[in-house]
Amino acid sequence: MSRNARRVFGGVTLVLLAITAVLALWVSPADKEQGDAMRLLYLHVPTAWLAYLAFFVTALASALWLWPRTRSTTWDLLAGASAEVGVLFTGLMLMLGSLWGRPIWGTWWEWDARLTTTAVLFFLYLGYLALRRTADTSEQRGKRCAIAALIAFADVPIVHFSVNWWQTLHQTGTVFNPKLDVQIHGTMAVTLLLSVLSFTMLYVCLTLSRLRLAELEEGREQRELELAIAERIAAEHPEPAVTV
Amino acid sequence: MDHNWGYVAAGYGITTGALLVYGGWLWNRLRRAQQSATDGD
Amino acid sequence: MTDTQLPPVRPKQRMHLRYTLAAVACLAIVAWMFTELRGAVVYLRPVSYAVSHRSAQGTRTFRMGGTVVPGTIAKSSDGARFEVMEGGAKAQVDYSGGPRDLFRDCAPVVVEGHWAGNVFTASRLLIRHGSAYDASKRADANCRASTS
Repeated sequence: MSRNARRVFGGVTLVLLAITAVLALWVSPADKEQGDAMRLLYLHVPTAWLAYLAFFVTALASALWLWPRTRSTTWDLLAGASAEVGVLFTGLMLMLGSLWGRPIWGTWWEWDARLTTTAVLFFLYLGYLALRRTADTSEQRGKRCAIAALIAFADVPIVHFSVNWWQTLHQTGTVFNPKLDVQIHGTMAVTLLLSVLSFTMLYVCLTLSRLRLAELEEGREQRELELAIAERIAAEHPEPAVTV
Repeated sequence: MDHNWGYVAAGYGITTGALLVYGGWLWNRLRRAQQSATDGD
Repeated sequence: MTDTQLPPVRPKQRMHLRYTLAAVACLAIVAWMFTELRGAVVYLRPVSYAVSHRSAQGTRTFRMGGTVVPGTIAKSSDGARFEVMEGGAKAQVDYSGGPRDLFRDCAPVVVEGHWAGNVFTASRLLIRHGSAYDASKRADANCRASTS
């Protein structure tokens, strides 16, 4: 994206997020049963969706890195950028769910199938982010992390279907349930839809920015590494064998 | 259930705060990285 | 020519070690969640299953999910006695613990405890929320209509 396109996209995202906040907090009615706590779901659902999407992008980019014909450092950096944003959204999702669970279920946390597999997802990708910083070369990092990302992604479908596979405390999907029977309507549905849209755009903004930062830093590290090697060679051969 | 607003405020507050902190961190690092990239060339 | 003249190795190796430890710690947390807590997860059984398997369950702790039978709630100082129903089966619950906001007739509940004879002694009461959202209609309309 060009500089101007990025600015327009970022601006539209912020405006949509602001509209979402107004709809979610003021315009949308309270749920008959849950009261206002239900408003937390306008953030909980999009952050959950983005966790899935972010980790899917990480897995896809990792696969593209692993496949020799499409191998490029950009895929590896995109995998890392998307995973970082994904971990942020997963953390927010867990926090929002906990704040909702306290008044509605009567508990901050339960070792429920959905909740536990989601917490596992958070720590898997947090570990993945740590793993990204343990490699000596970008080749080594790409290989290790691509394999790790593909393995970690196995937890995503487990998280999603956990509410259908096991009897859990967590409710099944309001929209993406097995029967695709949408159980939310009117202003509430519009608010949720807009929230998902604006948060998805926010994800795109954050991930692309993070990718650009990673590319710039990778380039700088590469230059520093070349410089260090040159210095080393120069130190080992006092004669001006290499000019820096 | 008026007391539910406390949970709602906490949720929206923490979310906004976390996104602002991350966005701000990203913005700053990106600006510095861009500067040093152009300085180096 | 000595090694000291070479450019110093950057503290990169130490950082690598630190992040390796962090990654291992995350994996350890994941393993802990899967193994230790697989046993700690208390399975949720519908009332009909809990009633038909009463003798097999013995006094083992599990969770029972059902709907509060309207008109059966008798609150006490330290909890409540009420009946839950599901799939045509009913069970008497003796709950001791704190009150819950959304606890009332027809509420979908999860009680954690064990059988003591024909009564389910519960130490925890959770409200299981459905996946439908509505501003004007409560999800338990069917339960209310069928019993009023």
